[in-house]
Amino acid sequence: MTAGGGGPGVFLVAVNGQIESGEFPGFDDLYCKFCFVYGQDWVPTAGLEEGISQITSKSDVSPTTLIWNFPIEITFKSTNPSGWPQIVISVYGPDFFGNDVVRGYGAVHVPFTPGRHKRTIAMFVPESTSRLQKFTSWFTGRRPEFTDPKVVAQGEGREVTRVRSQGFVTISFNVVTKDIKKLGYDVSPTDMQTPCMPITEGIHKY
Amino acid sequence: MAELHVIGQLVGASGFPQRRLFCKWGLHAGSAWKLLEGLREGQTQVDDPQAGDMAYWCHPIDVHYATKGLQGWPKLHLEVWHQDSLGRSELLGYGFCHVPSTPGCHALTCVTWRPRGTWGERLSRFWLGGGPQLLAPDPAYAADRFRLRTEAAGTVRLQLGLILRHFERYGVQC
Amino acid sequence: MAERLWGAEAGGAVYRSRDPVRNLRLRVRIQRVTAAGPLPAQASPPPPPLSAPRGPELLALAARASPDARRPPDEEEEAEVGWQEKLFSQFEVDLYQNESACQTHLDRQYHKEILKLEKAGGRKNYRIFTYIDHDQFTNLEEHCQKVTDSDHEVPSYLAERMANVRRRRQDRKPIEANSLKSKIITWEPSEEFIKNNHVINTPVQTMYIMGDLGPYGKLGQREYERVLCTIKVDGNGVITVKPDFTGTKGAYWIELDRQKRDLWKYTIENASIQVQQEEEEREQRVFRDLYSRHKEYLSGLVGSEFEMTLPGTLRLFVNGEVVSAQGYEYDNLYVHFFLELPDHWSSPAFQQLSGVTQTCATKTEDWDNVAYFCYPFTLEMFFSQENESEDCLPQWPVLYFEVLSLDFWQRYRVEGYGSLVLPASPGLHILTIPTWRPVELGTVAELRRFFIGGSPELEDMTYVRIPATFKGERLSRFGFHTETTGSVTFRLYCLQQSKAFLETSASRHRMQSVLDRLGGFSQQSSVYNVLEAFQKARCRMQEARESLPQDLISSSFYTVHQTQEP
Repeated sequence: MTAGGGGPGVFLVAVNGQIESGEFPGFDDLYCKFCFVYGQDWVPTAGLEEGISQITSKSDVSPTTLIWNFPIEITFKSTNPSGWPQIVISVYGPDFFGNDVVRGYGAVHVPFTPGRHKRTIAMFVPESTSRLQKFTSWFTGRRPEFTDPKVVAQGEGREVTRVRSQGFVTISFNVVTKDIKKLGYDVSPTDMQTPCMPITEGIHKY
Repeated sequence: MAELHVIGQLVGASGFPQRRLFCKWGLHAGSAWKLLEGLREGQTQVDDPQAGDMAYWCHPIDVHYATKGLQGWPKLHLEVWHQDSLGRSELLGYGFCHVPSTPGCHALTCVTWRPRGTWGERLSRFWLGGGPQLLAPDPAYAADRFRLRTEAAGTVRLQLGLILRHFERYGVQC
Repeated sequence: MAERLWGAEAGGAVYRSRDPVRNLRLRVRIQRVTAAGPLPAQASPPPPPLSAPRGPELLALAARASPDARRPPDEEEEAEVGWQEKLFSQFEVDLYQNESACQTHLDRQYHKEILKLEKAGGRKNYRIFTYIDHDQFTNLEEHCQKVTDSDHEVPSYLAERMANVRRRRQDRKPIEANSLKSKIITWEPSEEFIKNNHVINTPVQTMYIMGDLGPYGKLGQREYERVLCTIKVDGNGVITVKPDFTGTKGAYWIELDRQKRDLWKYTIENASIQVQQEEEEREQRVFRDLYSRHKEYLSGLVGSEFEMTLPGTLRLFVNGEVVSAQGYEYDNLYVHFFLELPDHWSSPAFQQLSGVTQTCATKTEDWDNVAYFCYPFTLEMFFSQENESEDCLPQWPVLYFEVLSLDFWQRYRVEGYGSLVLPASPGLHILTIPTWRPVELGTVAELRRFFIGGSPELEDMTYVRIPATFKGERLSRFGFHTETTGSVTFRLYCLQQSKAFLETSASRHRMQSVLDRLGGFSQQSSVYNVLEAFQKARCRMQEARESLPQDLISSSFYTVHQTQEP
């Protein structure tokens, strides 16, 4: 029933981790949503590819950091590193008038070297160029938003967007890969030969 | 043929006199290299940071090359621009850097510079912006850089991951 | 909220399936454990596995056939439920039988179905029934779920919004890829847009398997209804079962009433029709085919040729950058560098072995004046040693450089000299090389440098290390005044290529063990030399590794060793 298992020419990437915390000066009571964007050679085989966190608030012990501690757990299968999965995060929260507005979008590639990684990504929101529109959007609580958050993981068509970065989200990843080396891919320096001065003897073998 | 995947992000830039920045970027590789997948060039969003002097772009890069030689290893070409509140753009810095050749994750900083004009041009730049630009901004230009008078600009931060394949099959150690 | 699950793991489980979800079937078996008996042990044996074709009817009949047993007849029940299959409870039968109670279209449909059921001989299930996605319960349950034990917990606005979206899921349309491109930003998001976009809106279908755990003969009372299992399936093929199937774990327990010790135990099994072995094999074959074809396609794109070195040669390929120069006295700096190839080294004819950066005006950064060059260069060279018995070690190429500054009248002064040995290990090396410049003592000379420009220069830049023309045994720089100046940062990516590397691992292991066995007392000078070269290389490598920076630009110092210093 479950679509697991590999095959020839397939490697697996298992990602465990959590959306640890956020830093958004001046904002409080935020929640975040995550999803993954990946190429067409990629298929999730286990776990969840999207999730929505609780609403978290600042406290006396952490006046600047918002802790979500929200778990991520997903396994991908692919034949080709191209289109390596990216996690897309969007953060929302109420504004001064209680309207639910967006506080930031951000994305980062899932690390591909096995082990534990921590990534802090900048979060930004689209911004209007005209001052009038900026004011009305503040007043009506209708801030501009990306029609689909996944656009922040794409390299195309970004030249038209103007954004304002206003916070950070810290994510930790635990990455396990399988068969990626078997397919001939070198993802970390240790995969290659350990650095060594070529000794003349070795060369003279030929 | 050996394969090279460059996966990562143009993170952002700092150290420029202005804050509202964007970046035009391109990857250039020699004739032995063939681009199989991915975008070879692009332009980031314009970021106006709320705090601090670092502008963040989070611009993804994911390219897949095949190559039959080491010559012409891909180079990254960056142009940092400022967009003012009227939507006009001004060049702030050029940067060229090699794509790393070691597999794994690399947090890179690429320093940038911009052509320096005459006294008069510098004065008008101070008041009005603008300034001289390169005629042919490509890394091949590196050969006759000595004609150029430049000044130091800011730095661009990159997060690049490298996946290599089959290089060791041809006796290459990276 | 009195009910508690005592199973080993009460949490849900997530499955993924590419199959159409209508193939999902579950078998639920519920049993009352003696109402007055002692608390059963946790590890009571699971119910014996039932053979597949036995449906709920048979079991129900069997249960009915023994009314005079010690247990009441409805004490045990098993049902096999398909995805979104509606089994009515006694309560619903009583309710919907009456047409006047039916208000919505769904109610009327249920009414018809119940009448049909009656005609067919009554319903087969008694205690086990289901709430499917359309039922009101599904919405209510999602809305009123509590997550903490606070008595005054109010669902957050996020929870309310999620519930709202769930209700709307049927009329959600997938966003077209094309419309995405044309409209990246929604400038004034509507209420509707916010409602849908600030939550997860992948369509989800829910189904509850319920138990009517009322006392014997008193079925159809809502307060005895309990959720046995919640199953959710979303549009991505993710199946969430909560609690998980009772596979290897023991059965789940429900305690209904503490005083009366009304205990129920139940199991949930995946009863989906398993794939036939041939079918599974065929599927795997198809996948294997697909993967290998994909692989062929990719390798077809990639091709197979690659430029190789001649046997017995090492190719050293350096992608380098002159990154920056910092800490110099004057402004408008440029760097001039050239590569010196020792004996046995050669480079292709087209290879430029020198370079000049642009002239860069400095800027102040952390109390230091820095010039940014970011000047990329590529060096390619070959090493081949024809004569094995030669005594000396292979020498490594050296990069010499000088930093110069331009003054107002376009005259230059020397700001510093330096050199670096190209790293002998492949990989990334960031080297910050300190420099010096020759000085003439006295104020007059300094004034001349300031006003007129020009200053003592080295005639031969290789003097920075050991002059190429030098033949003596001791190198002396006595009587030569220098001054410490700034430093230049290089970033080098080194690649090495040689056919000898092809059989590396095996041969290197052999080589290392040979060296180890020989130790230091070998008589053969050639072997000794090899050993020494190896040691030296390792030292240099360690230095390089130590100098690998935490922070990429600053804090890395690579010192050039002048080994022949007296």
